[in-house]
Amino acid sequence: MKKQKIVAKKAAGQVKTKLVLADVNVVFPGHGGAESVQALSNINLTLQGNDFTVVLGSSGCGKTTLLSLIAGFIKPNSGELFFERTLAETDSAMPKKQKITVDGPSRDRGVVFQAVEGPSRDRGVVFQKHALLPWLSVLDNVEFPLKLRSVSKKERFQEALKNLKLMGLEDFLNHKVYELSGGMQQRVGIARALTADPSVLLMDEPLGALDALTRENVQQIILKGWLATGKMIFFITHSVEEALFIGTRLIVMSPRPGRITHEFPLDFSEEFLSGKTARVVKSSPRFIKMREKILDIIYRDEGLIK
Amino acid sequence: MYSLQRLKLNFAVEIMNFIRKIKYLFVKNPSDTEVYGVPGQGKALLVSIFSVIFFAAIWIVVTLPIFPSDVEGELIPYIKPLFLPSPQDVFAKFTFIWSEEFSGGTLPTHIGWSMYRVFGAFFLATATAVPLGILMGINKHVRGFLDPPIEFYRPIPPLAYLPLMVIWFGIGELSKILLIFLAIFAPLVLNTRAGVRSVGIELIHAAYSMGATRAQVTFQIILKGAMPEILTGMRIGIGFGWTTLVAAELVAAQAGLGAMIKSASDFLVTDVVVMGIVVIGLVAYSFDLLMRYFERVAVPWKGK
Ligand SMILES: Nc1ncnc2c1ncn2[C@@H]1O[C@H](COP(=O)(O)OP(=O)(O)OP(=O)(O)O)[C@@H](O)[C@H]1O
Ligand SMILES: [Mg+2]
Repeated sequence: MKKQKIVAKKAAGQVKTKLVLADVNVVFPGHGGAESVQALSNINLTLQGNDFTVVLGSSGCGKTTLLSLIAGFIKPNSGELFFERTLAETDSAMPKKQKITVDGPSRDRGVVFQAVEGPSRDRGVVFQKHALLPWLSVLDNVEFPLKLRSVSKKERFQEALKNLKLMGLEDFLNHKVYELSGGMQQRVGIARALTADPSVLLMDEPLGALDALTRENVQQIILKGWLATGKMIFFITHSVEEALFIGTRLIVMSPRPGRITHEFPLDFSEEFLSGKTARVVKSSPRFIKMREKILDIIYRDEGLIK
Repeated sequence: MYSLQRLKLNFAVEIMNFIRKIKYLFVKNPSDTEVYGVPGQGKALLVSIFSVIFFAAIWIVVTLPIFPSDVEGELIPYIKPLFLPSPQDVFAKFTFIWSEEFSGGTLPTHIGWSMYRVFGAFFLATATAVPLGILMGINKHVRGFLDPPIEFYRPIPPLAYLPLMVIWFGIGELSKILLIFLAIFAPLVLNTRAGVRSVGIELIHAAYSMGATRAQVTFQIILKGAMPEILTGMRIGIGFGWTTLVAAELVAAQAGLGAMIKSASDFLVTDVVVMGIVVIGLVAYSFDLLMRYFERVAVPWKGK
């Protein structure tokens, strides 16, 4: 098999960034006599360069918790979470390696929120959590990250419109977000994250509420965007097919306690980016074989087969 | 010529729209979607109008002089005017006091003074309770410090601390406005604080992830997100303000609806008492309607 490495664009002299999770544990205390939940147990994970990391795992295995941790929304109960920046050779005056502990959310890590908090067996309630601002129109929501930085009105509009067009929402600029369907709201969330332009993009089932056709389209948009910008992406999904198609690296998680059980490198996105159509990639025997293998692993985790 | 015609046409369309709008206050607008199982769904205005007519009719009937009395040939109402004057009498008093002085002023003077006190207190309360409520919501020290005094005085009837107000601040406007202010302040500050807590954490997280500063999160996310509850607090608050009006005007008020009612009750002029009650009710209700309209315009996303 030919191993052709896709190298996304990187400005010369830029720093190389690694995001490191070392022996991270997260425990949610049980309230009202409930047992505490070990949501993440001994997570060791390094995200680097332009990794497109995809996370699969059954509902409640701690995927959202892992994302919240990286985003800085929650703190680990033990273990470390830090950025390691290695400076390019040209910058020899500066220290070679810099370690920056993640403390709270910041603009370098953009988030696309899980639209509907999964039908978690342990929590029961299903909440709409797209995290869009209900008092703003679709356009204002997407412009919001630029407004925070006082970018000029014209520039804001152009950037927001571009990303809304990418998501096929140009006819809904002045709608209020609560007037949109769940899938449309999700696309607004993606457009907003693209407009914020973070160096790391964290996406929690961003395509969960989209119809099959739109979903395939947005997958391809995200892949092409990733190729063009070389962003580090952390992507949670429930669809094995989507995971295999879109990522460069697959992580499979298991519940109780939430942990990483498998890791695979992926190269199907390279096939797509080097010219094959998505359907051809997704129906190749190698793809199908891999898909069945991963499904088998997940079903075993679920205890559905022995 | 052409534009004049067009203007006329526009005018006609406006009128048609207006009529349609009025119509849909009463019946379901066919373009509104009905959602199954929404509690209390549908237009209630017709029933409300019936309710008003119903109670007014009872009032009219029980005060109509149609029952024979002990005196031969004289008819008296079911309830004596001393206990409940008839609507006609109350309305007559209304028009009379509108231009003739009663207990230190004409009706517009009384209404003016009372509105000055209630809305003055309401304005002061809004200007202080909203920032403090926000601070209580976002800062544990402020919350810990202010919670005991507010929760302590909140359930105490204003009449109980009225004497203290008078001893401390005299019998002038200050103690009156302060009394009403305190009645509005507590519910408003607590609602504002609850509003801050109701802002979804994911909105705050999302804003920080997009690079918002603390100040930006406070003003553009928390304040905005707390807005529906702040407006509810204002509505509840001004209601309490009107409730406290008579108590505030008990002591040495030359004019005011509360003072008018008080002196009318001293001389058993029941029709003025009833008229004062109706006027307070109408003024307060009109303002509440205004607030509800403002709510619909300012926070259309409420409950969405
Ligand atoms: N705030 C919280 N308080 C208590 N327990 C929590 C909290 N958040 C998550 N948990 C628990 O942690 C575990 C992992 O939850 P998490 O939301 O990370 O799952 P997930 O993998 O994202 O699931 P899904 O695929 O359904 O979105 C679950 O058992 C859940 O009940
Ligand atoms: Mg989740």
